[in-house]
Amino acid sequence: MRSLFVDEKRCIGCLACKESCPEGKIHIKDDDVREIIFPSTCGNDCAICEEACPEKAISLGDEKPREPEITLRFHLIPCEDCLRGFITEPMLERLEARIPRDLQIDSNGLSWLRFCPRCRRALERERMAASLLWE
Amino acid sequence: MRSIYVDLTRCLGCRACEVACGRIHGKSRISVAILRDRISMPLACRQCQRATCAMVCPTEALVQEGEGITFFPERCNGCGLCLLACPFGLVNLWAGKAERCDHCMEKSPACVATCPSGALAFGEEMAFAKAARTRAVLRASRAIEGVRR
Repeated sequence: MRSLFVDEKRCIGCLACKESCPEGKIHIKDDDVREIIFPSTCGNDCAICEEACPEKAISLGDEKPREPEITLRFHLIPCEDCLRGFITEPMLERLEARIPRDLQIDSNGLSWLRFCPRCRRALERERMAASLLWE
Repeated sequence: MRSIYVDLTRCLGCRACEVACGRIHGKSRISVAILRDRISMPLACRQCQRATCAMVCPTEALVQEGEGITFFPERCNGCGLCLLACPFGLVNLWAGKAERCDHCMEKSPACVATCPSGALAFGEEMAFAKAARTRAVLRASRAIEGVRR
């Protein structure tokens, strides 16, 4: 049995650990808030989650854990169009830092980042349709 | 840049491309939607020449190589940053890996081979634009001929 530690300041609330855990032991619940629930001990002899974490927020060790579970909560920023929460603040910050400012679709700069993928597809279809529809 | 191009005036909205893509890749990477009961519109990865998905990938699973984007599935950790970085929402997460159209790795893409109306084409942009323009002109001239008679 090894203990799992999560650095709250480093975690950006992405899906890497949850998606990579072969046992499905890390759970994510999305509502207005993203809840990530980690087990504080893990019987598996692997370090896949530790390696998968892009922020190196997870560490495995032998110290005794304080709680049976670790829960991290992230506010999900709502999509400008459908208002459903879809991205955590640290993830958005990371994207804004990596994507050059001039990569804009219209005159609103990187505002497209604030739309959820589903609404982005709908908007792209609207843009394409504008060339065919006379309205 | 070789890519999949769509002639919207030809798309029937039959979704054969979705079926063909799903057959090859497990889950379809192209999706068709009907806009305002009139226009059927297939949408798949735009193969951006400055790909934001590759810019944000923390593990270099998505890499910009020349004009194209290469995906190394063994490096992908399923973090989902690429799907939030795509300006058109055309990256998906499936079975813990990023999924986007790679035009069947340069072989003849299944959607293009299947499309019954010839709305999808794979090739160079200029060749496609020229063929679409030629068809539009022929269509217009046929219409004018009809009026004359």
